[in-house]
Amino acid sequence: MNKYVKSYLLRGLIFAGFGPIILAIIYLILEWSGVKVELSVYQICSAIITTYVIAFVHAGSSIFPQIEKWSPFKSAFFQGISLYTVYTAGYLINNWIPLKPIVILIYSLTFVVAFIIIWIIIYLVSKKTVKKMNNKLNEINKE
Amino acid sequence: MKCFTFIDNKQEEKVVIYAKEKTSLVEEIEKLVSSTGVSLTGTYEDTTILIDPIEVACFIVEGGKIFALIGEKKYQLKERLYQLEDMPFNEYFVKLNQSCLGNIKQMKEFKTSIGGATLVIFKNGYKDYISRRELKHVKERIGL
Repeated sequence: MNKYVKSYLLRGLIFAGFGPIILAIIYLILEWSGVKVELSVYQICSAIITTYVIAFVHAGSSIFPQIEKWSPFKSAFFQGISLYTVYTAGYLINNWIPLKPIVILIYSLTFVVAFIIIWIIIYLVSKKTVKKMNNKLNEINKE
Repeated sequence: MKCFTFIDNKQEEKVVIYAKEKTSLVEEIEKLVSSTGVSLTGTYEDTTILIDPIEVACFIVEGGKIFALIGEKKYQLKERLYQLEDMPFNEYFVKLNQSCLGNIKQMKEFKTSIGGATLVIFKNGYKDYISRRELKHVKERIGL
């Protein structure tokens, strides 16, 4: 088995369980906040399975930026597509967002903006590190 | 600089230098000692030459074969990458990713690319990415 596929599955399986735990915490917060939540058995099962799958894909897709043969753009693209697909499908299946064009548009824009901001932060942090590395390299080259 | 030689077959062979600063003489001695006993040969267009590791920008794996990049030439080696990692000259080299061993002295600069990946540009123009796994080691090796 390809080592990246193996890592994807391993990371996915390790962190998948956190999905339903986060779901339970959200329901508890809603309960404590006085929000009335009434769910059928099917809805509960759907929510648990969906959050498990979301957490699995979220953790698993963190391997994409580490695939050495892939360009950073390709890694970011596949990670973004994976996350967008699984989150959107999960939210729609559970009716956490209504299937209305304007809602999907706002949700998609929010997702894309948040994703880009995260990547910009990673880029800026990396740039700062690289500046320090270049200073050290210049010192070595001057010796 | 004073020089002492002790012939003793019970002792481990080693060269210890005490110097007030790192001069070109010290570097020459280091270079001589680190290259002693290492004979790397590389083949380029039917010509086989003895390779001086200090001149190598990096060792790379391409199509399952190992190459030493010297200037614009690519010499094929018989050694495997893990064998090169353990050679006496490895003080100049650091693993950049699974298929590249780079010479610190031949590195020109580091660059950031979109996605936070770090790129190394060598003096001969060759470029390669540092994997996230190896970034920590590279930073340590350059004294960061």
